[in-house]
Amino acid sequence: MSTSIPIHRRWRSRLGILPGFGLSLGITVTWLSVLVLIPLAALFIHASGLGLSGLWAKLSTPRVIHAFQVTFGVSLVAAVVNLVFGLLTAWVLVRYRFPGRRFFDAIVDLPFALPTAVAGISLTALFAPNGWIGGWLDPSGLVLGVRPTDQALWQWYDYLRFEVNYTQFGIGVALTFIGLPFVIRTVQPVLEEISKDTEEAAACLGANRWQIIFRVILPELLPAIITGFALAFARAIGEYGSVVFISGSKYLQTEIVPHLIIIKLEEYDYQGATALGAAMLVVSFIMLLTVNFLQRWAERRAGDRP
Amino acid sequence: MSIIVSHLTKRFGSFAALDDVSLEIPDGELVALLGPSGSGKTTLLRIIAGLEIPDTGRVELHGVDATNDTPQHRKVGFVFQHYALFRHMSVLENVTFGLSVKPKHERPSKEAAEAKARDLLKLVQLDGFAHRLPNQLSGGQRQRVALARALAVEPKVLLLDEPFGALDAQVRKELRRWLRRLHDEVHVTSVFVTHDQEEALEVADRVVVFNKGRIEQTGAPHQVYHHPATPFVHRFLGSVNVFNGRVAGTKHAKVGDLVVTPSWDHTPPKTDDLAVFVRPHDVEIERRRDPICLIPAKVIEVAAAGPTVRVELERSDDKHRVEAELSHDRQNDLALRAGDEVYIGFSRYEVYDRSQETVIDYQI
Repeated sequence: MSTSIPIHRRWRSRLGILPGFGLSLGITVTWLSVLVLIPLAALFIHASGLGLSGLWAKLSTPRVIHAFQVTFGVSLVAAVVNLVFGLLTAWVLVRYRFPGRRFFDAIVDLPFALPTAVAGISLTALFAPNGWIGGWLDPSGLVLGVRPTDQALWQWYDYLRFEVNYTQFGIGVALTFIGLPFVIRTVQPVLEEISKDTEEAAACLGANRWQIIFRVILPELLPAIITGFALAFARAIGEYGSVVFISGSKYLQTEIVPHLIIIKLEEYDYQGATALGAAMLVVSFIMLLTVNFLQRWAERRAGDRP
Repeated sequence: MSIIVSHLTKRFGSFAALDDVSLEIPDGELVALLGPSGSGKTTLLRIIAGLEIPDTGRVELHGVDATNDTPQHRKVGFVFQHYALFRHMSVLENVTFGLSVKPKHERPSKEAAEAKARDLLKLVQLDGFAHRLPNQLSGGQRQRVALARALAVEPKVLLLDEPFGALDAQVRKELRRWLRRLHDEVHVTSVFVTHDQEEALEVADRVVVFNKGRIEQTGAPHQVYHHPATPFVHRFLGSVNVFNGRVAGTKHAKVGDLVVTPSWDHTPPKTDDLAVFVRPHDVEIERRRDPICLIPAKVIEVAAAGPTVRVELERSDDKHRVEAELSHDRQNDLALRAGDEVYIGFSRYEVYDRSQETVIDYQI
């Protein structure tokens, strides 16, 4: 007869002395189920009613494919822009002391808090041809003050004119705006942690400024950079409120998937909307998974933080 | 001379980290900069490395004025207290880093660089660790990697900022002896900063004692230990008993009935306020009054654990506490116990004029 330890005891001994595992796991699973898993499952169940061929029929229209291209393409560009400028901003905020630093540091979080519709409307107004920034991008407003009447001049005007509103560039502007905080907020603490010693050590070994940045600092920041990039990218893919105003949702030009889903709903095409949602979910999930693996790899390379 | 610094001054705000410091360090020596924290020793080291710019003064490395050179051009190796290894690079990559950032025409081939790094890793006894990441090493191993990394670029001088400060006592002792042996092998002029007097005295060829941004004394370890130039050095390099003394005649001073003979290098001070410094192991104890032991005292406590016997006494005349250290043999002869009445004297002492040393306080 072997002395049998009750199963819950064995569990406990395996898990160590920290109490409350059962309770906290239960709450976590319930919470995630109610908020995430059940809605997502419902989405899939609803979409599966279409069958694979039906799903494909809904998704393979030029309009949907184009919307997907725009959404993921522009989100990617916006995330890359945020990566570069977010890195730069984080650097400035961490490394330099200047008047107003705290103010700028606080401003970074604004895109988190601002209703996205407000952001979209403000951007649209700014980039309109008579707006503060749009006026500068429109040479007629800048140089001539009036729109040309001559036909030949019109051609030049069209050539020189750089429009933001109702273009994919405009979508990019909106997505860059709402993704701004992510890279900054993830890189900032890690950058603060890199000790001055490390840079000084590199300098004493003969490394110049560029070598220090590209061979010492950036590799150490890589995991944080990837995280920030992934967050900004994910946020951009799902963004709707700020984009609809500035994009104008032109057919086959500036339609994004989230807006297309709304359009489908307004047309009572619930199945189409579900199909789009499910497809969106799958693609996003795969992309985030990839980024996650990338991040793990980078973290392993960077080693555990002390 | 490898390093000559002259009249260096450096202020941080209103705090004078260095106050007109001049120092010469000969080729191939291992020199310790010793002092309490905030005494300016690290600042001096950083100025030599070019990591800090002095307000005034000059730094010469191997006869060339380097005051305005960047750290990149000084060819100094620098080892930091907290290792400052590149966390994302393997041990081998860390060591070859300095070679790989050289301009193209000076840069050795990858193979040559790695061969050199492996030699250095052998030298620091880490041959098997080339492909580990720094976070997989212990503190002592990390510091040896940092040392190998600094040596890889063949620096003209090696500067170490509290290199063993972050390690525990045992590793620290091992590593500092090992550093001494390494220096005997490599012979690169080395300067290390420490606040641990034991470390400085054991390892260095020469010790430079710092206090409040100034150099108090420079000399061989036995010199600064046995012939401290100032009360500060005396106190900093080991525990010390301070006795009140008074001038007696032109040649002598007295502590109680005990006559001491200071080596006045000028006329005896006008003041009667003298301080006689005696290290615990220079305190003699006798059961009977004799020509040397003239001060009556009472034994308070005897602690016989350890390499020596520590005896705490109280003077019978002014009730001041005195700490003494005896060999176990001596204690066997004396068989001291708490409460015994004895007489104490000094086998070695230093007399200072209290009125002239506003620098140190007299609380023990």
